[in-house]
Amino acid sequence: MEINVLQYKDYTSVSIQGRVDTMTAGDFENRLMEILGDGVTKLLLDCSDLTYISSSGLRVFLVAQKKILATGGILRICCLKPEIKDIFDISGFSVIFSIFSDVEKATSD
Amino acid sequence: MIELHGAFSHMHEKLADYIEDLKETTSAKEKIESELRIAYEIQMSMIPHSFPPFPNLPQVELYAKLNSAREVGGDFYDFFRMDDDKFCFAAGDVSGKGVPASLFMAVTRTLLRSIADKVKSTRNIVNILNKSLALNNESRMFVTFFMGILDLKTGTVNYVNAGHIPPMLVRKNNGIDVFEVSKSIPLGIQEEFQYKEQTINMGKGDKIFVYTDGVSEAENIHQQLFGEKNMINLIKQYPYQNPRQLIESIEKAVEVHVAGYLQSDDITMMVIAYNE
Repeated sequence: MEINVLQYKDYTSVSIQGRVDTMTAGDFENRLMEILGDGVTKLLLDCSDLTYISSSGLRVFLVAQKKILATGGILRICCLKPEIKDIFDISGFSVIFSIFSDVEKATSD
Repeated sequence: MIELHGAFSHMHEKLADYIEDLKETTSAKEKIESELRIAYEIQMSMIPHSFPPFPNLPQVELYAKLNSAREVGGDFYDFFRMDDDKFCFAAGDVSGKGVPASLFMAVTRTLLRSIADKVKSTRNIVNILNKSLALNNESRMFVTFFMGILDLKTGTVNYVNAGHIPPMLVRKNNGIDVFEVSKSIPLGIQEEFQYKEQTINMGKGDKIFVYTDGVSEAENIHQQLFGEKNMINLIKQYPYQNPRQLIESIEKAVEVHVAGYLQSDDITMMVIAYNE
């Protein structure tokens, strides 16, 4: 699992590549907390290259959302592959997160 | 000569240190493993194991099986009588694995029993359970959950689904209906979420199949999933099997599919039959 961070408009865009499961969730959480610790107010999780996410991974998304909401920030998710979008739908997580189909839509406030 | 002696003496010391470290690590490891074994026993004792559970209730036949991926895990099932004519059954899947998941599982299961002791409506039980789990949940753990209350007189099942895989209703004539579930989130995330109660009717001879995603997502070495279609075909193949036989058939098929590959997730299955 790899993470790339870049700025797009006024969003900090974190691109997640590979699998987020029990093995990689811990590392993913540490990286996200580091990024959020730098005072990010608008976070975009770009899932174009996310191939799999387990419940451990979903939990990290929840932790990140809670943290950024507590400081009045926004978290958005975009570009979910169909299989991953299914996971979000079945588990009800599409109700909890702001999900967009592409980066443009996600960042056009 | 003196240098060689010095070198050997140094090596001897280092070796002695290494052996001490190894003994300590091995003993710490054994301690953890033995604690995990005990934790496993405690956790398993929270899940009803004696079948048939209600020999005096001929209207209902039930069997359930949980295969943990590690010593302890986050899957659970539970069932118990409520009043004379009602029967409650539930299954859940806590996020993550191992010790953290098992702790949250223990809390969920205990809360469920104590709430259901006083509260009798499916929707209220789940709403209260959710609220209790969402409070004091810094680590954002959550649990997908399904709960149904079967009225033994009428065959009506009032149920609530919280982000869990919808169970299947296996009709006596061998049609399979997937439970219709309204959009909902797992328990423990949003304190004020209002869960919806839905209803389905069981006819005599029908069965309900409740399971966790460890079954449909069991994978082999080529990362191929067992899949929902396989499960449905198996259930259709054995219309006259009783709950125990059906679960054992599916278990065998999953074993064959997985072919010895490491089990990555807890596998839980529960079948409730409403008898003639």
